[in-house]
Amino acid sequence: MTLGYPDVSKFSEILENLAPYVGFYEIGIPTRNPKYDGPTIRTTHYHMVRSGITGLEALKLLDKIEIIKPFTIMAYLSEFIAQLRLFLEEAAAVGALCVLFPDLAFEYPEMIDKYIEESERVGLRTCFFASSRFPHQWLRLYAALNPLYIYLGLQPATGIKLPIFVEKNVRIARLLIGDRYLVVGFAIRTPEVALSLIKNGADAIVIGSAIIERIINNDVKGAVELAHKIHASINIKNHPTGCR
Amino acid sequence: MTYLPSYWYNIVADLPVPLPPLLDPPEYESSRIAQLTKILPSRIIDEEYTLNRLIRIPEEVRAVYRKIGRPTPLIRAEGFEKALGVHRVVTIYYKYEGALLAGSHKLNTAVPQVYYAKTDGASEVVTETGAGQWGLAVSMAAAMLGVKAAIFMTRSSYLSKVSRRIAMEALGAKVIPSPSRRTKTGKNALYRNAHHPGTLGLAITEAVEYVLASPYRRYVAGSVLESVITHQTVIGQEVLHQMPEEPDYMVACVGGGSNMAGFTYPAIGMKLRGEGFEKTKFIAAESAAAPRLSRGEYRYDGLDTGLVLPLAKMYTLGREYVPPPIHAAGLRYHGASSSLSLLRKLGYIKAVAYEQEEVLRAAILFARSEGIIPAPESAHAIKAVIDISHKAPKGSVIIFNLSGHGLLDTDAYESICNELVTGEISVFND
Repeated sequence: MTLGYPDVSKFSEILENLAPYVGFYEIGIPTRNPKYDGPTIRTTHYHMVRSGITGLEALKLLDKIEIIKPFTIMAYLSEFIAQLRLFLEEAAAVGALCVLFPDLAFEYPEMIDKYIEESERVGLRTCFFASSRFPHQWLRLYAALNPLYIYLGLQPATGIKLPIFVEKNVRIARLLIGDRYLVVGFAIRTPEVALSLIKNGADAIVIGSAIIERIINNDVKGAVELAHKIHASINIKNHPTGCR
Repeated sequence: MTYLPSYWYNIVADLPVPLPPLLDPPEYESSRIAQLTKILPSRIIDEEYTLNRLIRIPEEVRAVYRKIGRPTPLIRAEGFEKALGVHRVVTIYYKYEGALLAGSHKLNTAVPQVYYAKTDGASEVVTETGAGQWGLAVSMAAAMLGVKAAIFMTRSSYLSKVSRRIAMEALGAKVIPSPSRRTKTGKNALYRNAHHPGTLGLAITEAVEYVLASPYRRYVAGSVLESVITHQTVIGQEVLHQMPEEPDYMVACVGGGSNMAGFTYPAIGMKLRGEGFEKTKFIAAESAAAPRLSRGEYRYDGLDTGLVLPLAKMYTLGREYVPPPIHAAGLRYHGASSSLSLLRKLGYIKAVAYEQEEVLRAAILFARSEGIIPAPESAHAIKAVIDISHKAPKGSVIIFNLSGHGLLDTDAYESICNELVTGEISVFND
C-alpha cells in the first residue's frame, strides 16, 4: 500500500477495511522513481509525490494514522542513502517492524552490514528482498542473518505477470533458506495462485497491484472482497508478527 | 569424445553479488517489461527469471545439437605455437565452434530459441544481425525446425557480407537492411542520415517493432540476455571435459557477451564456488571500435537504441553510439550482458581492445599456421592470445574460443591479402 494513497483519509479507511484479512501491511514510501514497480504501483507513487508526500517527511504521516495491524515499511535505499540512520529512526518511531529496501542487495551490496547495524540500533528487525534471479549464497546469507522475513519477488516488477514458473522458484528459495519466513509477491491476483504458492513453500503472500487497481477504480469494496477471498484460500502459518 | 551437456549452466546462481534487475525506462508510461510476453518466446522469459543453477536442455534441442555438430573439438594449436615461437614454452588450445554447421557458436542458442518460439505457436522468428553469423544461425535453425525467419541486417554488413546474406536467403529467410523503411525507428534513422550504416542496437529496435506488429512472430535474441548466454554454456561445459589441464588463461572475443560467457562461465562458476580455476585469468578481447568493457561506463542503459526493450545495468558506450563499420560487425554492439559486465566490474574478467588491422594480421598468421580462416570477430581473441603468449611464464596454458570461421568473410581479408602479396606489409607487426 503506497503511503497515503489516494488521500490520507481514504488510506486510513482502506487499511481499516482490509484489516480482517491482513496479517501485516507493507507500506511503501512514495518516490519519484519507483524503479522496481510496475505501472499500477507507479501511478500511486506519482500521485502521492504530486500531493507532496514523499521522502522522510512522508514517514511522519504514519504518526497521524492509526494502523491496527503490524506493518513494515518499503522504501528505495537510493532515496535515503544519505539519511539511512535518520530514516530507520523515524521508521522505528512510527512503529514499523522493519524496513525493506528492495534495491539494497542489487545496488548497495556493500551496505548490508550498515543496514543491519542501524536497524538493530533502533530496535527494528531486518528484512531482505530477493529476486527470481539471485545468487544462492545470498539467499543462504539472508537466512543466516535471521531476518523477520525474506521477500521473494516472483516477477521482474510489481503487478506484471510474465510466463515464469514461480512455484519452482519458491521451492528453490525454500530449500536455500530452510525454515526462515518466506514472503512472496508481485502479480499475485487470485486465490488459486496464492494457494499454490503457499503449497510450494511460501509462508505468506503480498498482494499489491491487484488491490491497488481496484482502489484506483474507486472499488474499495472489490479490493476488500479480493483480500477476503485470498485470505480465505490460504492458511496463513505462524506469522512472525504473531498475527494471522 | 561424445560428451554433450544435458544442462545449461546459469551463472546468476553463483554470482558473488546479486545481478541488478532489468528495469523499465522511467520516462515511459507503458512497461517495456510487461511487453516482453509479446516479444520473446515464453520459455526464454522463464529461463531469464529462474533460481535454477542448471537448466535442463530439452531432448529435442539436444538432438539438433548433435545434428549440427556438437560437441565441437578442442584442438592443440601446435602450428600456431611454432609460428609464434612459443612452442614447448606455452601451450595453446582452441575450442573450435566454427565446426558447427552455421560456422559459428550462434547456433547454440538459435536452436533452442526457435524451438521455444515454435512451441509458443509462432510461425515466424525475427532478429537482427551484424556480420550475419547470428542471422545465418537463426535462418538455419528456422529451416530445420520449420518456421519462417526475418532478419534485420545492419546496412553496412548487408552491403559487405554478401555471401552470408545470400546464404540466409537460400535458407528461406527474409533479409532486410537496417535501418529500413519497414519500421518507425528505421524511417527516423534514415530521415536523420540517409546513408546510416546501421547499428546492432537500432536493428534490435526494428526487429522488435516488426514482432509487435503480429502475434505470430517472436523475437530471438543473439546475445546479452542471461537466458541466451546460458545456452552458450554448452561450449564451456564441453571444454571442462576436453581440456587436458587447467589453463592459466581463457580468452574469447566479446560483442554482447554470449561467446565469452558461454566459453568461460562453467569455469568461472567453479572458481566462484571454490572448486578450481583459482589461477586462471579470463580475458575478453573486443574491438577498439566498440570497446564497451575497456572504455564504457557501468550503468543502466537501453538494450536497444529505441528503448523498446527494458534497461539493463551493463558496461555501455551509450545506446546511441554508432561504431564505425568494421569487418567484425558482430562486435559492434554498444553494451555487454549484465552478468559479464558485473564480473568485469568485480575484477573476474579483464578486457583488452584491438584495432582492426592488428587483428586481421593475427588472423592471417593463425590461418597460415593452423589452416583455418577465423571469423574477424574470433580473430580478436587470437590477437589477445598472441600478446599473452609472448608475456606468459614458461609452462603456461592458454585456451581460447575460436567462435567461428571466416570462410564467408573473405571481404575482410581482401585488402590485407593484397598488401601481403605485394609485400607492403608483413604478417607480424614490427
